[in-house]
Amino acid sequence: MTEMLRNEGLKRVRMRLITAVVFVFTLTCSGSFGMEDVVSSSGPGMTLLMILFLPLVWSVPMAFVASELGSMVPEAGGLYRWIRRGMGEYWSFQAGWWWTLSLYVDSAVYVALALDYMEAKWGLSGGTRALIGIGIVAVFTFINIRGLDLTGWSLTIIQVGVMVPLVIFTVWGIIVGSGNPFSPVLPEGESFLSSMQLGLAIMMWMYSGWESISTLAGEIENPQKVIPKALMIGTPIVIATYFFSVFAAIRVARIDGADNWMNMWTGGGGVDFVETAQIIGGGVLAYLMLMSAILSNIGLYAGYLATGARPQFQMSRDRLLPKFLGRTHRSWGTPWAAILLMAVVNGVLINFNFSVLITIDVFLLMFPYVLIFLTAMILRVTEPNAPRGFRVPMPTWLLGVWVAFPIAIAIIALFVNGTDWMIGGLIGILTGPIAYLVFKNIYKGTTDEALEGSTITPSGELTEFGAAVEGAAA
Amino acid sequence: MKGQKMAVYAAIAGILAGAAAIGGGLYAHSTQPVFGIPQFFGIYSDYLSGVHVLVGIGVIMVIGGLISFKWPSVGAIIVCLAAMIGLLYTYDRGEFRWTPLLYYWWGPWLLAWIAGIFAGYAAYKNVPQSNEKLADARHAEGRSA
Repeated sequence: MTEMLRNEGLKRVRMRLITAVVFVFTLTCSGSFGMEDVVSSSGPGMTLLMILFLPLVWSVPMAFVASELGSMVPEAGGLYRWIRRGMGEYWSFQAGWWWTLSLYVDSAVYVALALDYMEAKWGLSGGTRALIGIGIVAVFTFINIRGLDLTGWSLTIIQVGVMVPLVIFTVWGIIVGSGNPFSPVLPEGESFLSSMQLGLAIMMWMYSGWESISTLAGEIENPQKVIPKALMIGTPIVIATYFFSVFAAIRVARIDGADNWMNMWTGGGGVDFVETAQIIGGGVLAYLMLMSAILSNIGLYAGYLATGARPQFQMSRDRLLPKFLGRTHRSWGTPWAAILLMAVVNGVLINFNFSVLITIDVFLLMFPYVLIFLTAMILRVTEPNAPRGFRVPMPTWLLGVWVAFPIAIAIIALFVNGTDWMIGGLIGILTGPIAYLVFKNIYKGTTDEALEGSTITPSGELTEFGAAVEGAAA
Repeated sequence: MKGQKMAVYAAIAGILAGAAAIGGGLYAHSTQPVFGIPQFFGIYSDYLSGVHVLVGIGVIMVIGGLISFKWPSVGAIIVCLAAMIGLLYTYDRGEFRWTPLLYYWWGPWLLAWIAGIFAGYAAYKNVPQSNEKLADARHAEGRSA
């Protein structure tokens, strides 16, 4: 059967459920590295409570909404396609643009973090650091262009490398650690709200990414079944991973003193997961945790290189970005041009100080999140009877109440990350209208009818146009 | 027709954005004639202080708004770019922090964004989408239509 033109050229792979779960886990968690900062800023008890309860009003609604929308519009580009259906061309472009721009910077951050861990351990020279960074980008660019099969395998191997040391540490840490990890709930002198605010931005960051796998829907067989299942399985795994590993880390940190949780942070000099592993397991476990941290960031890079490239591919297919971004590999059926462009930008960024660019990240991610939730509500109202392989098991009004929480949290996040982040975000937001006005006037956009269902009749036979496309593709 | 209506809205929003920036600049001038550090990328001048930046960029935004009546895309791009440059002045640059300037940019930024949204809808209405199916097929394959 002829593929819909929008997804034409993409090769669908049979992704096993376990691989899809690995994708979800990688994109939303990939280990608990980074949680240390929440412990010292929000307090150990508050950190554990936030790990348990924030998902109910932040990541679980997104996982459910992404499942519903993904099963309703199972196409490459994911969130971009959902918003186009619910809110039209303008807002879908905005969401796709902001999300992609954010991931261009974000994915480079993961390589930089992996390199930071290596540099802290082995003291890399500038040239060596650059070479390793470009090597990581090159390897995973090839893997991603080669196809989702190989990407899935590589992520599975990486996550085994991430989780084995983390599980050993967690079990060992819970057994030999000391003290009540929930105590104190708050740092001294902090109120409940101020304590929560201090760690909220990081925690939201740690619990984001649930929409990402949907961008691969055009390359997975039965995405409307596989992706929601993977999200439902992945959600409790991610919560459990964060909770138990942080629980163990706090207990271990307290071996060196009841207040040692105050020294838990990443980025050198603090008691991070590697340091806590050193306390109970000596050099061997510390080395394993270091490898776990490096692999965690490399896994995040590989995952976000895959998902980050798809919306721009679809935007090109919709004639809203340069046409070369819509190219697919003839043999491997992947959007190689979009992947390669992202990789080249990443390769350049990691060799420069791009801390200023990171400031656009939070804003540019939060706005698409708000648009995703609004789209879910709009489509519930405008297309109540459209087939949905997965439907959030609650009436529309209740879903509206539920998603009001993450929307409120997303808006709060815009104001709690610091002034420079806000300024960077405000500047980043304005790039959306500018980009739309430029590309719309150059490439015009296209109607949905021109790209969907036009190559086959409802009974599956090739239309005249379909035959022409087949001829053009042959 | 609807596109023209949107263009008018974009123009009004752009002009209001400029007016908000100029108004902010005049208010700042009444309380603090030279507001912030009068330099930008190594160039020092009182005309680069917060007051002058607000007024100068506000004027550019008003011009962008006026252009939007005729060419909404061009006008809104000018308005949004001007707001972006204005915001750049509020960045933490070394020992200089101009964050108080951010308070003055909230209004112009929001109005500039709204101008961009209206101009986007005007472009959506005015620029006909391609419906050439075979051309789209070739576009999708990265070939020329």
